[in-house]
Amino acid sequence: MKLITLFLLITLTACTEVLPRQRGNLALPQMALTPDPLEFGLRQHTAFSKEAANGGYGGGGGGCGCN
Amino acid sequence: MKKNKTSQALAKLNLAALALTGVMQEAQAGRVEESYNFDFQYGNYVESSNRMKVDIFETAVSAPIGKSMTFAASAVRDVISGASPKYNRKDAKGNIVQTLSGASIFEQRDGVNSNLTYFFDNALLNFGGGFSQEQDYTSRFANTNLSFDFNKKLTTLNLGANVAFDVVEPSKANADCSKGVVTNEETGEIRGANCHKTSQQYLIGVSQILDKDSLLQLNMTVNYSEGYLSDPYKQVYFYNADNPLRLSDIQNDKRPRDKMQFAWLAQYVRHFEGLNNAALHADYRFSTDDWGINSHTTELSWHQPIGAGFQLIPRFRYYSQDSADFYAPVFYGTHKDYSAYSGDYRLAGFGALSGGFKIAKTFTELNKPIEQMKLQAGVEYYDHSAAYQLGNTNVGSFADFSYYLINASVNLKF
Amino acid sequence: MKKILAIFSLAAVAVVVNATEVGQPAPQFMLPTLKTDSPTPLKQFAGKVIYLDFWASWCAPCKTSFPLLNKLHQKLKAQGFEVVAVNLDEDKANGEKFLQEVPVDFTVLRDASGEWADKFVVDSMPTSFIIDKNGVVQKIHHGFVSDDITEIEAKITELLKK
Repeated sequence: MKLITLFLLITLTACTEVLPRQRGNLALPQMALTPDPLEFGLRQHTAFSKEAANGGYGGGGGGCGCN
Repeated sequence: MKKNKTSQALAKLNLAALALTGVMQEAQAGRVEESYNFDFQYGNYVESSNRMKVDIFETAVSAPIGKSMTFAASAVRDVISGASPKYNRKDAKGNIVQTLSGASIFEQRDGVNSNLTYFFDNALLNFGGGFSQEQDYTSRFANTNLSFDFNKKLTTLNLGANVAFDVVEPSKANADCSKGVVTNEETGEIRGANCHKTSQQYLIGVSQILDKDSLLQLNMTVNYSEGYLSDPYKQVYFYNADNPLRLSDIQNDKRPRDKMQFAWLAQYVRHFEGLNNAALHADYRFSTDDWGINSHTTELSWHQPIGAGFQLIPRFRYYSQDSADFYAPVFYGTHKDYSAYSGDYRLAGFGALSGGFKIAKTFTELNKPIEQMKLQAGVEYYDHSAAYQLGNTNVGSFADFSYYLINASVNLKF
Repeated sequence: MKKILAIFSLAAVAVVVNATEVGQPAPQFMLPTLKTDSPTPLKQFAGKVIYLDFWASWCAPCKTSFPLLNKLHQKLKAQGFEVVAVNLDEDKANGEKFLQEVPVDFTVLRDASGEWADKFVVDSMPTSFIIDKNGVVQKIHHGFVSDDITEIEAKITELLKK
């Protein structure tokens, strides 16, 4: 329930309307949620083997919205 | 010849192999990438005090299939050597001392995984799986992810499920594992019978484009593990309650047979046009489990293009966790007084500070068929200390250590 | 809770602008060329079959589409086929750099403010409009994968016969 409310709140305060043609900045490689998947995997694996925390990461979105 | 296979360090990475790999990180709904990709990464991990050393070699490929699908696969090899913590004990003065495994071990872990993604106009479906193998540890895992784009693709809903089936065959007798022991007639090596572990993780998350320069992702994951969750190569020392310097018992690490863990992650990405298209990444994650461990992770990285295809990426991370309910450096009484007990430094209260720096260069003017090549090299220093824990209960520095992680990679796009 | 749901569903329904749809005449624009800034009206291509493509340098499918469209243009231009590509980069330099990497022979214009793109309604990057000899939009194409060129060529050939 809390998550749904949060989801709605985000899409409502939906912030600014960004047209598909305005997504150039979001399409930059450094703007990807995970710019370097292999390095990310390595660092997560290393951290996980030394720490008790686990999870949270995953999912996609943002970017250029092409196609 | 009897092989001395004290793979404590291995166990550490084994338990790490449980980290459910294969979670799709970057596929985006309706965005088929028509290029072929090849990646190779080398990593070198070195702990302080000559503890553990690992060389990591990883290769990944991806290819488009038809109009709407992408296939990806990767293979990794870890070559592990060195010592790792085995137990804590008291010295003559009663101070806690961490003792490392005696012999230096040499181990190798190989893993493969592959996945297939199908792209719809406003959604994406992904299936994958793989396995990881080493001398005394096998993990088989499968995962699926679903993404939906809403709101003119400004909002993405992500769902994921991951399951892993692991088998540990500790290379020494371990009565905690289900049934008895097995002695290898030729080598005389004694192995514990199989210990099984099953883990499931579920993810629900939302990515939202806030404006043309920023993006926010909020995720929640639930992770449930059951089976043999202890570390077969670690031990716990029990001291006499009336005479605290007198050792009364030594037992194998014994953890509960299940664990439920929740994590909430917020990731924010922001573009700075005026700073040559730099990007800031800021993450915060809170996790909690029913072993009593709460943790906070904060990470910041700055991606700075500096012209001619170069990028400099500094990174900073702070991590803090509480200790597990059944953790203590050493215990008092006998093991019968406790339902679970562990002295593993990874279940203790501590904090970790790490900082890193990476340089990347992208080449675009290349001979066909290569469209783009990216080279990267980075280093990270990580410092683990009881003193860094938030709230600082500071049980002492006996388990403190640090490590360097160096990595270099090449990515080719065809 | 109901109120929130109502507001949410309103927000979720795409804000409906008067989009240019199939069967409607294409808005008559006047836009400068990318290379020389010379003003070019759409009616300059009247009587021809036009593939009007809205693109940007950061759009990966656009990189795939350009060489294929260039080949198609060379093949059919004698029969009265034109490709008009409208660049939507805010910074002209990015568009120019893209054309250096992917050179083409067809007309390239630019609409930096996006004024005309919004009148056509560009729902994805790229979006293209196939316009017949009478200036009427006959097909709208969203996105681009290499296989699309086959169906585009088929539609163009069909319209050239009319």
